Amino acid sequence: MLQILKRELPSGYVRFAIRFSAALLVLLVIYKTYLWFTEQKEDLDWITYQVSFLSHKFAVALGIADCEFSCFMDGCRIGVEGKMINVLEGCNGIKLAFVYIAYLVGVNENTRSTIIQSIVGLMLIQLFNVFRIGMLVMLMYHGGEVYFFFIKYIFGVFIYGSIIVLWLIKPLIDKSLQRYVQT
Amino acid sequence: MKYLLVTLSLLISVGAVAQQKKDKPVMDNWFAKKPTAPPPASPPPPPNVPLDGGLIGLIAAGGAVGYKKYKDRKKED
Repeated sequence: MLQILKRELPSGYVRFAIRFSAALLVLLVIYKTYLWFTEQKEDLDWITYQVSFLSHKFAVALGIADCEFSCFMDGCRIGVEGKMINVLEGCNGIKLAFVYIAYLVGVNENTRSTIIQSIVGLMLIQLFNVFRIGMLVMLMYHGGEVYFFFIKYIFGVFIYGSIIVLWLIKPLIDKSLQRYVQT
Repeated sequence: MKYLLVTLSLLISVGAVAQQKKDKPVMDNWFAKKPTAPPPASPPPPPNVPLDGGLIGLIAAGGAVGYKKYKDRKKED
């Protein structure tokens, strides 16, 4: 079976797949352990809190002056009374960043480039998530069917599509980074 | 005197039987206030805004992009 796989798959792919899976597993185990500890302390995890807090600030900046913000053990509620949204652990976008980083580790052609791209990617995904939740609070406030359309299609397609495009253009980013480091 | 004692003991026993039992619901009592309408339903919880719904799809996409990358490299070689 392994021989057939080795023959059929391009060289280096098995190595990539193992590194990709291992990196993802390690990141998820660390994250789950952290979540377990915060649960034991009967506290909300720091990432969800920060994402919710910044989203609230962004929603206020968008013009929702009476936007409320309250946190519980399982997540935070943001919005105007009666038109709130619930930001839970699964909404913080960190798992998407883990998959993005795991791919970079799997390919790993240049350690420095991988580290830079991981940090920048993580920050970009989190910034987009803050923008997404802030916009959803605003759409919920103004009501209408647009909210459901955005949450179901627009934001999902955009973030998942962006991650795949970043993976595809990784060789170009590597080249640009190398040029930048050399100069 | 005998009749008076019998009447008194009957009245006391009827009163004692008519008392509300601890383990019986209040509804059995004639004087208990019966509920007229069900309590108002609590408002629905606010909607969640999950982002990791397509995580498995993204992992599969990562595998596919990696496959394409190594296949293209094989062609170049």
